[in-house]
Amino acid sequence: MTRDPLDDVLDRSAPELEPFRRQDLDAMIVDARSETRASRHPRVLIAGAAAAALLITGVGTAAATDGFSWAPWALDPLGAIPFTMANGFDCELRFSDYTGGADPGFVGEVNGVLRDWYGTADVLGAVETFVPAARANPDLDALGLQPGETVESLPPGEAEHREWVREWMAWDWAVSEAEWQELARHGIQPGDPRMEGSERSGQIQCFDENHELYTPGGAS
Amino acid sequence: MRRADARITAALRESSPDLLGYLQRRAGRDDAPDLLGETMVVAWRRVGDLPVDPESARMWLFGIARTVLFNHGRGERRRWALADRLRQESRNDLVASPADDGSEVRDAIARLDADLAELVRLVHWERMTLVQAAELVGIPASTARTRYSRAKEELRTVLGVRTV
Repeated sequence: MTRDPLDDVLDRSAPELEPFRRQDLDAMIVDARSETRASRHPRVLIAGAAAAALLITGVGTAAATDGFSWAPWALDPLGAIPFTMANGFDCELRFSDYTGGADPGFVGEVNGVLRDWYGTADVLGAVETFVPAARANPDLDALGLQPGETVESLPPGEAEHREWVREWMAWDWAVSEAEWQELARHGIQPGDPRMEGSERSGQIQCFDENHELYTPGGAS
Repeated sequence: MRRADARITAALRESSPDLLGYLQRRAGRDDAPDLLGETMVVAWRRVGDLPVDPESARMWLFGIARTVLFNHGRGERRRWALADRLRQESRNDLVASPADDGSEVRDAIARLDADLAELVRLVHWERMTLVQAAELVGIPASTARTRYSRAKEELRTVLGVRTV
């Protein structure tokens, strides 16, 4: 089709767009995957060694930090876990209270159990027991290489970024496993309808081997 | 990461800026983050349907976004926590948009019949081919060509733009 002056006029009429950051979109893609897992596999995955999604009966979201600050809720989290990734990054995961849900009183009870656990138990030790199995989860078994793609052909920093996401997901799942193990000790089981519709947030922040903040999706 | 997961991650990484632009232009800056979040969640749920060809995958994602947008237009609203970061960033960067000379053209497009206007927007704002635009809105390519020609003739008259 032959272009004419009107085509240029129409092209230029596209409204200005809001600026965005690549790493925010990347974090959303990971979060959207977590949403799907939480709703699609409510009970079955909990039986697997590494499989619980962020939560079982409600909806969980996870977000990487922007590299500069914690979200407001993360300044007073329900729980926090400092840990070291396999690549040597020093990281911390923080989780908010569950909010909403079919039975807010019950959701509050769940929050109370978890808050006590985070405040008094060897949480890192409990979580670490699940990490090897989480890393071995077939869903996290590679860097997502596509046909014809090799680690060497990836853009600079991409392999590191994918490995970081994989490790983050593994720890996230391990935390969930440990949390539900603790909740089960209090008679609270995954799939409880009183938790239906509840949600909470998770956030991660990491420092690289040079002790500098790692920016997810960045070019580091 | 499973192969299907890797493929959809790659497709979303490739297309999400364009999808965000599409949703911003249609639904506005405030609602676009939630609509993008919903588009991503639906895409993950339907990962088994993701076309292998990258261009087809892109159009498949636009098809999901269009359905999300349609439901939004019917009054469905859902706030996605996963969109908070984008929303927050949007507030942080909030600045007045620079004045542009496109408002007269946009008004002219908006006054076209809705099906004509949509084709013009998809071709000139989302940079789709006419065949892709036809596929997205679900009409034969020949019909799209006829409508697009009519739309341009009307716009040419209203805007006073000569052919050459």
